[in-house]
Amino acid sequence: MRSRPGATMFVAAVVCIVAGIAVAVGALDEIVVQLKWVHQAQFAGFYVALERGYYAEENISVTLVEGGAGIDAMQQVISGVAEFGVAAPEKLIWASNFGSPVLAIATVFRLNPTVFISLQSSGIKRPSDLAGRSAAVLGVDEFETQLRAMFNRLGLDIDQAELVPHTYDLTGFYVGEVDSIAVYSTGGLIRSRQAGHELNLIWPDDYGVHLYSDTIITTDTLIDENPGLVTRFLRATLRGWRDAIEDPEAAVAITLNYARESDDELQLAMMYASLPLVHTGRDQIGWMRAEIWESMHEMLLAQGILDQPADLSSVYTMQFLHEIYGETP
Amino acid sequence: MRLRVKAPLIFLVLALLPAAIIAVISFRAGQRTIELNVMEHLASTTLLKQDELERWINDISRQLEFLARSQLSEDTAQLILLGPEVLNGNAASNHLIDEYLDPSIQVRGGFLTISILAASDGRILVSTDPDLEGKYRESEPFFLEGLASTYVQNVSFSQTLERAVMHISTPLTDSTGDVFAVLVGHPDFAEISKIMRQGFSLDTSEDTYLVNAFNFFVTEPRYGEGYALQKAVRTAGVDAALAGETGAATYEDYRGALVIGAYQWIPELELAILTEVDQAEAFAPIVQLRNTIFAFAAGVALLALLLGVFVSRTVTRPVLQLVRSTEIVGQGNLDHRTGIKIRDEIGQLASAFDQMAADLQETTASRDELNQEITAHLQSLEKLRRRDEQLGAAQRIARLGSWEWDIAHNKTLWSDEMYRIYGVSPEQFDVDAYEGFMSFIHPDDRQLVAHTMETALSNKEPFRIEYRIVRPDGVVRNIAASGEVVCDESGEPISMLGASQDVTERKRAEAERLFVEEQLRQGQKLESIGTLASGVAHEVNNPLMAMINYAELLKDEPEGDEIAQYADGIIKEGNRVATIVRNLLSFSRQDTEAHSPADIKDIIDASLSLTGAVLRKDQITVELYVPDDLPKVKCRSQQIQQVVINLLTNAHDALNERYPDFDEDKILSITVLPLEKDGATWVRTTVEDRGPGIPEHLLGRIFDPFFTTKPRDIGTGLGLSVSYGIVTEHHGELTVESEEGSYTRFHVDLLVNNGWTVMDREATG
Repeated sequence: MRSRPGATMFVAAVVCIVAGIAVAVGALDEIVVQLKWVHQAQFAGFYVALERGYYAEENISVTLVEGGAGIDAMQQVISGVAEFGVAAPEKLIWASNFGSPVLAIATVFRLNPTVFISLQSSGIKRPSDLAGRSAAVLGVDEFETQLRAMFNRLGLDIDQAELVPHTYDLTGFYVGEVDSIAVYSTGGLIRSRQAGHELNLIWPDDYGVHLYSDTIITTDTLIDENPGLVTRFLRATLRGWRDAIEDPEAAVAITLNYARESDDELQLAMMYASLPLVHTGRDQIGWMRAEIWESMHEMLLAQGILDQPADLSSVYTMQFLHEIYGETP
Repeated sequence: MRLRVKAPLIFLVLALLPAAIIAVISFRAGQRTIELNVMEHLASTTLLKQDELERWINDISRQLEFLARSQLSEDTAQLILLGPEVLNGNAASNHLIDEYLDPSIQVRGGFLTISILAASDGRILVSTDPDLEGKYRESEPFFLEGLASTYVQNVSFSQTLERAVMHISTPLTDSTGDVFAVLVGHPDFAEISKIMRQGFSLDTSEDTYLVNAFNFFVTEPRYGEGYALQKAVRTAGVDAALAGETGAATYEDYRGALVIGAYQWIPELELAILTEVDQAEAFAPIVQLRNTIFAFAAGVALLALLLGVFVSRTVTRPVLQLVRSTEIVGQGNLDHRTGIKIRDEIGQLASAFDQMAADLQETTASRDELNQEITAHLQSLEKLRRRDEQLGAAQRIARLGSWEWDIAHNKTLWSDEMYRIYGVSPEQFDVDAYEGFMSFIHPDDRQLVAHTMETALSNKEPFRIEYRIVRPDGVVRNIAASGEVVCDESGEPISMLGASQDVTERKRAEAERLFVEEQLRQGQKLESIGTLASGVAHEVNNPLMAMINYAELLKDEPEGDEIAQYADGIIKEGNRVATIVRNLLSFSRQDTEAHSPADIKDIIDASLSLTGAVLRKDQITVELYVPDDLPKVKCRSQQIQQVVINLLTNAHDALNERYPDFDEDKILSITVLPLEKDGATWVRTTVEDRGPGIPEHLLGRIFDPFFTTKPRDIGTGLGLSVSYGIVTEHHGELTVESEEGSYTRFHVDLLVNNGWTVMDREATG
């Protein structure tokens, strides 16, 4: 009789294990995540979560689909090709006025990596210095919006600057074809510095333009019908990002399994550049603040991109971050 | 294991064990003490550092507040009234920088940059870092909080500066008390790291560092560079501190090195502060102590080992010598002595051993003598045994038993052969006394025996006697005994000694010889009778034939019926006589007869013709059953006739014994029947009488020679024996069945073809 509690516990353990396996096998959710751009360190947290089995632990089978020119992550999510996506927050606000059925559930980059660079020799230090100079932003909404927002914020006339089409190739900038060009601190900035150029930087953040970047989005429908899945996906993703921040080298090693540009030095630099944007020293990873959303909203309104105020509650939700972290940022 | 090895090992273990236990206990105790001391020290260091950090932050906050309450405030207020554009790197802003901000930094230290932010929009109006001017900080906590009071903002990443920075802010108020600007300073982060390091010498691994709520380093740890806000740290200490705990523990630090660490959470700064020292360093003194103890233990062990070797040698050497001596003595060399002269217990043992060897030497000598005696004794015993065996064998061969009768105690002692002669086993039968012996004597001879014994006793003379005994199985044996009387000094007989011999065989041989002689005489008599008979027969035959012929002639005469009737009578009786004569002739010729197929009926008729007269005389009814179609039997018919006559004679005697006069049961029957037996055809002739029968116990012996139940004057005891021989010779079987008081039945079974050929005649004839 003495062995009965032990036996009971053993049976219970077996039942639990069997049940656990049954659940794990039976209820594996298959989802597709549409990334914003091609595979690179920018999405390191996703790769880490996948490779280290964090999604599997949450009973999710994840397929990461890279983006690229012509692929709109938000559109992919809306059309149902992907369940989750990585998209620009300002597009979310803009689209909400058209009844877009997607919501941001967290943001990966809490500081926008966008920076306007100019050669030190150009003497351009402030947005006002761009008067009469050329700036390559056209064609990339995110860049143009931020430039306009800065000008707007500083009370400058955007027409004083000469806006020219943006080229992903920086060669023209290096030779002075354009005076200024918008790049990401996690990409173009690194390459330019690697190329040995002395640069002046204009950060939109310094001029009252605060934009999140790479928000994680999903559909209203999924949130309504399967909030558990959303929580599980977000939890695993944030865990992956946390790992990536704490061990950037390992994160880059994993990233290299996906990245097309298997330049590990570049990817590592990109990773290090991303760290303070993901983890700023304020708030938990992925956390969103209402004032930033409001500021983004105002910016879009001020620029006339939004012709009428949007309802921010249909743009983002803190439901899942609260679920994961609690109420404290 | 040998003692030589065991003893030093035991000494070694005895020496090492307590040393090891003491070493372990003292090491553990020392380690624990040091651990506690170090933890206490680290905790106080941590408190001290925290105190210093807070004081430092307080100091620079005060510095900033002091600056805010200086003339700066008034000057700035005036400048702002002129409009923001005047401040963009012009002389007005330079005035503020040169007059107030730069001196504050340079004189007091602590700040890297100090800036003045417009309260209205968070724009940096003036800054010691010109690059910052014109930028906005409208949503930063240090700006928003700084509008109200002095505020310390935790370390965060500055995109503009591309590094982690801390902010302290304080409001600038005009004469009316309205806040019109915020004074913000970036404390020199290196200062904090410096404070953390302060007081630690280079030769210690002791270190204090700060970690923020997100597990990231805030100050540079001793063994890392560029860790601040770049590297996360997850150790037991950090996790405990982030959980709000204050304490100390041993764990692996960010390098994976074992450390003792004290940790504490500073809620006001939202920072964890940790002070750690490497265990290797902390435990160095105790390790030294441990090494000392080990060295000491090794010394003690060596000493113990030497002692053990010495002790074992003093013990094992004489012991080995003893062992060698034991082997030598054991091999028989009793002259050997150990030669050990020590006073201790082993010495006693050795001298006891020597004494033992000496004693052994003595006893060995007497033992040898004893052995010789024993050998001689055994040899004589063996001789005796063989003599006894010889005697026994001689007695057995001679059928001669010896005996002794102890008269005084009435006990008899028989030799083995005696028991064999008397047909009993010593265990089976009690012949202890004279009476026991007498019970064996044939009743007819008891008186003779008793008389002989008495005579011998009274005359004290030797005696010789022959008598019969009846064995328990009923067999009668003839014994020849002789003995003599033994007397004591007074001439009183005390015992009788003698020998008895079974002389039955001799007696039988004697009887046989007598019988053969008798037979010979009988044979000669018969032969002469035969010769006489054949002569008479020849003589009788011729006149008999003439008589019969005459009677035939007479019968043919016409004189009258009466004459013919007489003639018939003469012829009939004459023929009978002729038959008798012929049978007599053929019987007397038997030895020369060959075998030939014969009709049993003829044989029986011939037999009856010879015995019929006797049977009739004694009024015996003869019943005869002989079928006509019997097969002929290959035999010597005269011999078979002799058998049949014998059986008829026996039957006649038996019937006469039972019925001396006429009786209607006085019947002798002869039956002949064919018989199939063993796959051959036989003819069985059965002669049965209703006489007294044969007792069952005698049935097996009736075919023995000289066995007879008849009075001596009637039977020779040879009839059935001879008959049995004849039938057996014919490959036939002679068997008997009888019931006492009812009947006796003899069966003569003869093979129709017994396999005899003409050649056998010579062989068997």
